[in-house]
Amino acid sequence: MWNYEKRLQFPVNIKTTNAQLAQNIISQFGGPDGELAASMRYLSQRYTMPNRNCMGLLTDIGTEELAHLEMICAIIYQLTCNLSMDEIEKSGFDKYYIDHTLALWPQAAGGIPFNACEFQSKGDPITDLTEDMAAEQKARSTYDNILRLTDDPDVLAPIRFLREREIVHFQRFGEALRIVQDQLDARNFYAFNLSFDTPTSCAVTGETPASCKMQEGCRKMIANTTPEGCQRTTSCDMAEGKSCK
Amino acid sequence: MMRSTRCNTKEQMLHQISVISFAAFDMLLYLDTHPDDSKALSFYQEQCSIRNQLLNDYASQFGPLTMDLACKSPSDFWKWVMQPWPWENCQNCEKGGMR
Repeated sequence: MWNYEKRLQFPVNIKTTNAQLAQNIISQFGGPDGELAASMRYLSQRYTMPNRNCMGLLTDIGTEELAHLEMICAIIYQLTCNLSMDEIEKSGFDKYYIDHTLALWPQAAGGIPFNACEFQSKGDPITDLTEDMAAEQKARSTYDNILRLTDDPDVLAPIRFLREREIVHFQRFGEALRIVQDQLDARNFYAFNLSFDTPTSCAVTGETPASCKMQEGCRKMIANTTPEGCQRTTSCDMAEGKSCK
Repeated sequence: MMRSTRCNTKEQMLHQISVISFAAFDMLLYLDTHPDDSKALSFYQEQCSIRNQLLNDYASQFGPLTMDLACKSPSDFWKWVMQPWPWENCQNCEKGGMR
């Protein structure tokens, strides 16, 4: 369940309109590495994550990306406020204006509409977290490119803030990937998929249910699982103070 | 009418939070198009204050449901992430196998 906070995560107060710049920045709304794709990517991936650190991190970053989407929309809205017909034509904004007037619509800078194919939700935590790290770097590169296109301090400040958040998210996803790898067989991280092959109850009971396809992986996890370090989802609930074994 | 904020179990309390929250949220939508309806306003205020009380009680007894309540639920570990997420309650999860 979500609730809305009626504020921007970082203030946006743009005094000078610039429709051409708005057409470039709109890529971070609906483009391939934009905030909409980021939020949908993380909020879609979180359900099948094998531990609560990853479930929580994807929920929290996916939520923050919605706040970034709002900031990007605020920037575009303010950059295109009160445009004259002359400005719309001269800036090349007329192509967008024809279909959307001055409304916000998720598209890339080149006019390509937002598409869910711009992100993956693969159901393998190594695959998904590696995609998430790449996605944060791609978004950071896009913000670098935007920063080269303008010297308006009102635009630079929020874009720099957003760029810095990409770097923080990249760091957190790297830590999440490390946590996942610590729960895998160090000799072969790819021996099984923590989100699909390995029952979460293996770590608690020490039994190998019929549905467990990778017995060795389960044994490895049992060996690694201690009450202090246990991060299994349904099998041990630290909140209830239960032991993992 | 004030309802009791004392509930016996975690499930009962969570259910009560869901009921009160839905009443408040539905009233939020109504007030968006009827911002000067004083009867609706006072109903919203009443639901909202019960909701806040319930959320606080739940946080101190069982754990935080929002980021703001994470500081009202003292613990030596970060309950926000380590307590179950709301989609985890499928039967097959407990039995093992695919989730």
